[in-house]
Amino acid sequence: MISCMLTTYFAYSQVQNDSILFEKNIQEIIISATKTSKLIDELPIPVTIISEKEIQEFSASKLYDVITKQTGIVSVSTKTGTEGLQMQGLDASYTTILIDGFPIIGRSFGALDLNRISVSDIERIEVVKGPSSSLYGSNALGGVINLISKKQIDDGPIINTSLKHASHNTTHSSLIYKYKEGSFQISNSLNYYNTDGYDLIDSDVLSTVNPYSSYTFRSNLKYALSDKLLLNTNGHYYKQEQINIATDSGSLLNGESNIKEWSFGTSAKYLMNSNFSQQLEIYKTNYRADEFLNTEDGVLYEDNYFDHTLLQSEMKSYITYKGLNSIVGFGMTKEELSRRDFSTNPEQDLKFIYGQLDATAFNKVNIILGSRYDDYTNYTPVVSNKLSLGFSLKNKIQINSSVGTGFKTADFRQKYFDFTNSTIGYIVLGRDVAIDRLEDMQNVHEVVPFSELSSPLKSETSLNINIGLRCNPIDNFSFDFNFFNNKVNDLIEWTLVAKDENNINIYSYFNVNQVETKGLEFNTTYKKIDNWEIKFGYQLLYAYDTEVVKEIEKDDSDYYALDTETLTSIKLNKDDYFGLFNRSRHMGNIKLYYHLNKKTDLNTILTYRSKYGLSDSNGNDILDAYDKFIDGYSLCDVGVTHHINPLQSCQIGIKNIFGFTNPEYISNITGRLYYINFKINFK
Amino acid sequence: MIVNNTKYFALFSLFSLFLFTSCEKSSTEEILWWHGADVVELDASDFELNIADTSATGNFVKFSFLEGSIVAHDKWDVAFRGTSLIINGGEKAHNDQPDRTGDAAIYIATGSMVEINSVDTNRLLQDNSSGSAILNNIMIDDLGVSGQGWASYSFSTHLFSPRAGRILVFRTHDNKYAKMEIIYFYDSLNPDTGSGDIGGYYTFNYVCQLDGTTAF
Repeated sequence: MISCMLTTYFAYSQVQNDSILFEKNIQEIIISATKTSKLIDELPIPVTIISEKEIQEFSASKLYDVITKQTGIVSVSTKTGTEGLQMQGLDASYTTILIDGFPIIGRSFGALDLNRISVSDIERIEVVKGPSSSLYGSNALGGVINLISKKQIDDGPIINTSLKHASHNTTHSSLIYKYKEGSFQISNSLNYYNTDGYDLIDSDVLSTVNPYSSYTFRSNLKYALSDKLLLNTNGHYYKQEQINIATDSGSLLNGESNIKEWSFGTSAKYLMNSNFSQQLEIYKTNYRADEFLNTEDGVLYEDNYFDHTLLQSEMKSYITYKGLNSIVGFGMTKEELSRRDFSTNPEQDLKFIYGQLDATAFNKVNIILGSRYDDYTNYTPVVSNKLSLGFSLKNKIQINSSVGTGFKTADFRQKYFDFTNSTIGYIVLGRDVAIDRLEDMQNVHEVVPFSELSSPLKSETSLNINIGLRCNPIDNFSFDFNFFNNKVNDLIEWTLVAKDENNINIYSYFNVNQVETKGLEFNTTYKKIDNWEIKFGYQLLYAYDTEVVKEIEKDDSDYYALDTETLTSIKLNKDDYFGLFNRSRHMGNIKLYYHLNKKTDLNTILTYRSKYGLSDSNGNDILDAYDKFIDGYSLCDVGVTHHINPLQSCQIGIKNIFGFTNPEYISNITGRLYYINFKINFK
Repeated sequence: MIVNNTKYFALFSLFSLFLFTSCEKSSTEEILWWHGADVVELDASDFELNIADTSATGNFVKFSFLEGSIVAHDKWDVAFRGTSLIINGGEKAHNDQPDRTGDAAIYIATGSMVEINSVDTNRLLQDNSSGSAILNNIMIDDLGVSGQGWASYSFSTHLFSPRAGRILVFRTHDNKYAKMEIIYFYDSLNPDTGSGDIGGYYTFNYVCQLDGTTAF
């Protein structure tokens, strides 16, 4: 089975490497959705595969560059200013990102920085939308993104090099060395990225993004000891150094902001017979961020650190019997965090077990049933379930549906934070430390009875439904659509609990409200022989706080807004409520590939995002029709790839050709960018 | 400094006329039952807040509903300094506050200016030595999370926004009644703390009932 899987991988990459523009009838395989290899066409779960071709097309350096071009995925600022991806209208903290199946850590307020993840040695990216907690546990209630590194087919060495130069004095160079001999293969990749950053607002002394440089080293080693035993080892090291500049009442502060990250994972897969195999995995990863600021006199003004370690071990068994595929896994994780503004260095232990059955009935109905049990120390265990059904109506139409539950545990910050903001004057206390701290303070005025703080936070839980259809009526035309509905309960938010003797507000975390995101995703592809291909994607999204909806419908609702025409307050009705912040009703993209001649390809991509609101501007805490909105915008990239010969190519292109910027509200979109990229391969 | 906003003058003249006529029906004796409704801009930005102990420095700007203007004398009704709002009734909490010489009181009602058409005298509170009648010392300082004040504070933009549909209902220093809606807290429609907008520029809209009854 292993060799079978590998062969499939190899065959897949073979086709990938050989095709310059179009692949035909490729049986695309996806592994993240079920933890087993499964043909994408047969999978009853909404998934997107981003191919190597698509990664290479626009000279993508970082995951950010490629993932934000996908339908319904956008990188947005979270409430606390960090940036992360939003999928099906759900926040970044609900998506797990994996490299070769191993999770990436180092979340800042729930969000992973997509610019930390290099994609130059990535063969494909699998995006599983919808609940995946039944396989991956916490942080996967909205979906999973798995980056799969390149595999090699032929024996011998392969060296891939690329050198890219882009606006803002950005340089990205990568070197990949792969070697295969029989059952042994090794792949090493080294990336260096350096940029001067950019500044959208000239009038102040600060830059929007300060200069930084980063190195990524990844290594993968595979060795088949015998026909039955395959060893696999992954390691990675990442280092980022950035200049840190801030101001404090007019005086300039200087410092650095550094990130170091490493991971090491190893797995052994044992194939007992064609019906039974087992895999043991051990993985450890550490993320450490350090930053400091000095005054102009060189005196330390502020420093900050964040150090997170995850140790995970997992045992999986694959059993196949009479067309019934099953997987059973169990394992444990241990997490440790030490950071500034924490009263302790918390640890968290988890034991989990999961199982999944995959069966086909009447040759037409595919049923996948999965369940996972997560037992965190000191917390109520959580069970996540998922049922997926796929119906093949004819050869060309497949109807898919899945229902799943998911969860996200309270993170360390929500439990152990002990933060005082001296500039604005407020204190935030994690739920597990709040009572002790409050009892130590003098003359605290209770806003919320402190007894409510004595029970631990509940996990956020979700119910997600996806119903979709995939259709491939003729060879060169396909489309799919998917209706999704995600309900997340017991959302953890900070709430005012007390005022201290100086009237300073003290906040802590509570399970407060329920949000719902629902909508429709549509994708279609049309290919014209070998000349061109056009893709279109669209997502319609409604996302709102269900408590607000309930409240606003009442006659005595407290929700008013200022009508700026008449300068009087008016009562809001249900239609005035726009929904959650930072969600666009409409998002779409058009991708056009044109194969000019044997050597030259043209690519264009246009992405659109409709208006959205970033924050409440009229004091009612919700986003309503009278609030200030950020206008919708379009971004367009064009690129040309010229294949000088089979081993050498050159790309030039322009990103954001319209030069769209919104300096005031959108810091992650820089103006027009030019790039040139050379690739040379050696065999 | 008071500026009558000419832009809204016509509109509010109409509004006053409407109120005036509706009141005439019940009584034809008095001509000046209402002070009418005005949009007032008031600069109370002369303040500095010391976060460490929440003490503030600067001058309170005193306002009289009857006169419809800033006053320097003792017969004021409400006074502003930065985010603080005090009334001329009860006791003062700090020495830097003006003396209370009248019988003013206050509460916050939920509704629009039109909907709030009577005074619930049971809810009226006066300033006391421990702070302002509303939310102790600094009325605005509930930062919008508990939703009890007349303004909210955004952690992402660092701006204070008056809460729509929160009407300040007053008893004046001389036992008349007034209602007020604070519309803006900055002198810019697109305030930005980064470019130095500090707030304390009040734009509000008020109606004062001069006959001492509790109906507006």
